[in-house]
Amino acid sequence: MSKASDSILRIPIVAAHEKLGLSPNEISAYGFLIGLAAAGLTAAGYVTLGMIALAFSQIADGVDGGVARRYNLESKKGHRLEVVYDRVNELAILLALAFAGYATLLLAALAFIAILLSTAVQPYSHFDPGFKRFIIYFGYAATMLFHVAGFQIALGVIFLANLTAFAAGTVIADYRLQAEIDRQAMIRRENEHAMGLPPPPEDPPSFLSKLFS
Amino acid sequence: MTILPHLLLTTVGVQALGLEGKDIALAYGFGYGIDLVDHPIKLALYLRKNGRKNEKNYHWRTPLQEPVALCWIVPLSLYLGTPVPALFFASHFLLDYLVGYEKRPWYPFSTYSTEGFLTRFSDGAKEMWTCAICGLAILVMAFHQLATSGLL
Repeated sequence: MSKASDSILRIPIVAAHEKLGLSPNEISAYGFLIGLAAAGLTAAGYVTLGMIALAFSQIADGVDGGVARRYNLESKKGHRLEVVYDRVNELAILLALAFAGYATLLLAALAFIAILLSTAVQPYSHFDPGFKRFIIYFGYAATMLFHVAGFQIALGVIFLANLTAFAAGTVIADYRLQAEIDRQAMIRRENEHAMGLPPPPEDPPSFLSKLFS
Repeated sequence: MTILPHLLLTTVGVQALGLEGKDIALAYGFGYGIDLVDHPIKLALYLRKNGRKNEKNYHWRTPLQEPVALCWIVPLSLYLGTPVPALFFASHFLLDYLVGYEKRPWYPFSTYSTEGFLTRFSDGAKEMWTCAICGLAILVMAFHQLATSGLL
């Protein structure tokens, strides 16, 4: 969750820390356990209760970060713990949906692989599509309202969005590297020019240079 | 490699595997089309650095056509229920790795860079041989198809 969610969750953030005395890591752990309960309920066929528990687990997921930011309790360990809890919860709910027959096991596995890929590239790209557990509610709504295979569609969306995020993330990281390499080359060229050194010989014209001339 | 060897090798693959319908589109998309998406990405950077001047060995490639892309293309193949994207993408980057310019196969997860295979042979010769072998293969398969259908 981001800083934007902190204002929405201001009341539970203050209550969790000031009234209940919970630390961010404790809130993360409670959220994780509620998430596992959501998966258990869904797998047992109580999908509505499962979705309600999943919503509480996600609220806890927002509150822990909010408490950490508001009371300056942010730590690398806490962030790592949250990422691990989130991924395990996502795996649990995806498997639960497959176990209950709402989605195929292949799609649940692929959706989780895509989530892992987008998580792996995020430290390099600083880009997170946010298309994870949240999309499952749309699947639930579609299943209940329109009697379609909503969870299967939702898992397909999670898979494709996270796969796209991974591919885009690798390109973003590479683009930044190339921009930095080019910037350093241009500085070097300017320095050589300032020292009166002759510029390096130009490469013969290519198709591209002919196209632009 | 340039457009021609990629197109020829993709055509050989399509003919050899007897692909039909959407598989043909996927084969050309991942065997050749990926170049059309990938190369324009760094055009702005190139123009900022060089303007209209030519820099022969500029790093045009992005991870979209490096082996790291198999991380997303293999799951996509499983999702689509066909090995065509992974297979033709592999053929694409294998051809590219025959040409001697810098590649970063696992970026951003590793900064390792390589110039590919068979670097002691000239790029032109490798390109010419690839075109000749693929061209010959296309002709042989076309001849075989005509012969088996009784048209020869």
